[in-house]
Amino acid sequence: MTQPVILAAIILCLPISAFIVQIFFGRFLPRQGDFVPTGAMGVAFLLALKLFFVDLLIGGGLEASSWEVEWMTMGTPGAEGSWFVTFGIAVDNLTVIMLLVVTGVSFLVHVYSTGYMQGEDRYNRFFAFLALFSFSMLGLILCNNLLFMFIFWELVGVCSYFLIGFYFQKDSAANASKKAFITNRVGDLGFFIALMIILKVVGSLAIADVFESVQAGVWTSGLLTAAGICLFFGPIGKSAQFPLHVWLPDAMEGPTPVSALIHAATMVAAGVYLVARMFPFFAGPGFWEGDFFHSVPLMVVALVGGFTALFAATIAVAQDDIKKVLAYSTISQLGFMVLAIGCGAWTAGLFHLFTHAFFKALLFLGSGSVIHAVHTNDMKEMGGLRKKMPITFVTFLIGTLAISGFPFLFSGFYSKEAVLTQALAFANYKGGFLAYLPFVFAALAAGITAFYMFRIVFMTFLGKPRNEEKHSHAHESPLTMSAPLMLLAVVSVVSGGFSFLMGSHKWFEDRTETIFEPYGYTAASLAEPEDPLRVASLAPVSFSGEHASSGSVAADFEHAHHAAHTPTMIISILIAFSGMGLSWMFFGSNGPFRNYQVKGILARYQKVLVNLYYVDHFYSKVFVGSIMALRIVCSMFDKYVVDGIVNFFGWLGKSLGRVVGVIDHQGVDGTVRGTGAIFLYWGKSLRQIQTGRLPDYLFASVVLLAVLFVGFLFFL
Amino acid sequence: MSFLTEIGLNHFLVVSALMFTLGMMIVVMRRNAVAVLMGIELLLNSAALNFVAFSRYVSHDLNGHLAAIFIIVVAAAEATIILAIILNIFSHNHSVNVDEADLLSQ
Amino acid sequence: MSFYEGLLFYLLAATAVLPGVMILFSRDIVHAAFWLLASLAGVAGLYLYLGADFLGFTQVMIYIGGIMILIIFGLMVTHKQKISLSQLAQKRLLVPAVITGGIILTALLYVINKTTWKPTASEEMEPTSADIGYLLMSDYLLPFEIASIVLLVGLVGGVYIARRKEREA
Repeated sequence: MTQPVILAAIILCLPISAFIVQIFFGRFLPRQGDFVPTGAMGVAFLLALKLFFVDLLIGGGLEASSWEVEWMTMGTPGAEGSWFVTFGIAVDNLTVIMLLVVTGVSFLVHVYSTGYMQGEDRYNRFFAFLALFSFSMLGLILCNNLLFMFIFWELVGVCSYFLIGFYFQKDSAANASKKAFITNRVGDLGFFIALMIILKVVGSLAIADVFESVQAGVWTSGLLTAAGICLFFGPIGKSAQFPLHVWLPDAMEGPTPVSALIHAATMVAAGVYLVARMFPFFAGPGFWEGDFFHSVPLMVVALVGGFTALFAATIAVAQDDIKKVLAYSTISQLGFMVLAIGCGAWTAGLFHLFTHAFFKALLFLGSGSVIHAVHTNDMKEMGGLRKKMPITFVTFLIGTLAISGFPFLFSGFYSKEAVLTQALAFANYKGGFLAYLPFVFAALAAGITAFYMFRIVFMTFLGKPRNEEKHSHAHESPLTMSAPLMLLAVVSVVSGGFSFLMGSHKWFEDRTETIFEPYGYTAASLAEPEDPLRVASLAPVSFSGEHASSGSVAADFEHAHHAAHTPTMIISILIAFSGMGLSWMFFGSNGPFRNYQVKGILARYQKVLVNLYYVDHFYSKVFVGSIMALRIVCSMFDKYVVDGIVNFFGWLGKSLGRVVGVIDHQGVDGTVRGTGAIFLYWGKSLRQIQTGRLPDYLFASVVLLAVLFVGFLFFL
Repeated sequence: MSFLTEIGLNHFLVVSALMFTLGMMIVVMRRNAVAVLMGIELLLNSAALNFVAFSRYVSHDLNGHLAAIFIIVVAAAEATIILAIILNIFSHNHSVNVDEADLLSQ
Repeated sequence: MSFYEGLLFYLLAATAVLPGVMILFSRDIVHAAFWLLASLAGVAGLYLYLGADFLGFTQVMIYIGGIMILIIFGLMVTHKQKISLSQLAQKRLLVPAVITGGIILTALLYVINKTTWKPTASEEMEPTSADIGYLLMSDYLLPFEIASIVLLVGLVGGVYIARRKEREA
């Protein structure tokens, strides 16, 4: 075991130990034991920081290393079709980045929760579940085997279920947790089917074996496509992509720290992580030549991601619940990440995941701070909180600027620009209407993001208070809540400033584009053309009209990527500012359209938006409704067929009973009474033998012994 | 007269039979409950003696010895219980005579 | 087989059997207890004669311990020092008991005499303790454990039965 692997193993063990201590002994400890998981996560965070700064940033990246143990053999050992289930921990650059995100956000959320959840019922259990979630999420990141990834994948789902339903006495929370769980099962079914296909074809679920098989051409292209699309169903469920996004907004019924940790920063990013981790599998055998343009699964990924990004962003505009807006914003941003990976840039997608985790956690914790102060989620009752809650306002504003892509200073700008660049380069290189869709979706979504995020800021913090009573009671949150806000705000700015110094997100890209090197993919070797005919047959269309004359697919694409860089930067800056500006016009306290009333076709559209495009409606009508109809059919069947049979037999039994009763009364009772009388008579007679004195019994037994003895002697 | 000097299995069996008969007579005839217990001890001992004698003269192994050991164990447990019962009878009847313990007939 | 060994056997046999007669007729229960002690010691001697050294010493230790307790109980429980011979036995059962005992003894002796036991030549006597210990821990492990449970149950049961019942007293 190398040193990073040992550290990772310790990080993995800390939260599960904390969970065990907390769930069994938490309520006996002072402060209900909240310091146990918090402390464990703090230590884990420090270890992750060490890995991140010392090994990743300063050391320039880690050697991928792993440790694994054979857990058990499925099937007869050594026989045809048997395979090993191995549990392994693999550490590479991507793992370290995810470790930092998960432990960092988790630790801050733990600290924040000690303030936010103060005095709630089941306080100790809340922390236990947080620790269990952290463990599951870390396991999902660290394991190098798809089977274990699936196990941890389900574990985080269970934790999410527990935590959404934390206020289970509320019907809406209980229903939301059920909805989240069941919706996720739909996606996980696809995931599971993909696992079975992989197991059938490859004979192993270790990620390395899967990649090897893809490169070796074991797969038929149809099966690979099917498996890839099925595998993507998992992320569609977990990362709340269209059409399985419906659970995430409802999941906001959970406590706000949970929303920040699970439903914004980490768990929902698990789907993105899976797509990035399995990128060569989605891309197919062409990946090793740098070609992902001919992969159907990746195209599906890109389109689903892009559509989700735009779709969710439009819904967010029409929501009044501050957490709902943030939830749809999360869905939209997750769409961005998925889109980036679908366009072939796992580095850009992961970079957006990395930055988004921090500023979205910041926004959620900030909104939690507001809700904590005014005791409502409805933005229509807020307003003018800037003076009352200065720390929350400043940090929330930083988060908003980051997510809106305010240029140069904030981290979100760099990650979003990286995504857009990739999308444009992809579209230019591949060509065709479908290929341009992701870019268009993403650009529009980016603008709308800026619009609705500033809408929150204007409605919540600026302007005049709409509800004087709630406003007067508002106050700044305690230090345990504001300190995490400030830390996250600093991170959101610093990672942006860091990118500014480096010129772009190159520091991140350098370290993540090498994660597939252990599987035979080298970015450096791609510059050399391997098979000119093959390259020519791809017939790339360069966006600037110059046809690539030499080099491999990857090298050509690299060229297109550079060319796309400057235009997208300009586009994304323009879009961000226009979004912010529009927001000011409509919601600013002295914006020109502040009294604008929506009417006509726009009003009709607003109605569609408020109703979430009727997706939830459709599901409840079609799926829930069909189940209800089935229920009625079943109940009719039960009432008339089953009950009829039962009643018939009941009537039969009753009639038989009557007949038997007569027989019983006359015949059987007589016999029984007669027998009783006989035995009574005998009893009375024999009673005289029983003297009740001990010696008599003893003597009787001795006589019996003698009789037996003599009997045996003479008769046997 | 060799059977008088040549001690063999039969000698032990005869001793055992005599002890058995005596123990049985004690059990049946004595009125005192403690004496009855003594008779039972004699019965058990005669049986144990048989086991050991067979072990010595016929099978040449230790199985008989172990049987005797278990008999001793059972005898110990049984003596405990019987004495406890006797104590109870005494506290109830103020007598340990077995023929006065006739609660069963009522 | 020497004369002295034969004599030793007869002495031991007499020690084992004759006290039985004394118990049957002794008028003092304490005396009866001491006679039982002698009888059991005789049996212990017979064990030693048979080469069962472990068993002989076990007999001495356990039975003498047990008999001491019996004596104490005999003293505690019976107040009368001596009883007349007429009170000794139950007259009602006297004759039937003697007849039955005679029948059983006769039958036993008849069987002993009639059966051919096929005794083989006796071997050298060896110390048995080690082998008994080995057997107890191997072949006889289950009976051994059951015996321990029987003892425990006997102990608990004895204590429970003999306990003075507060309510009734």
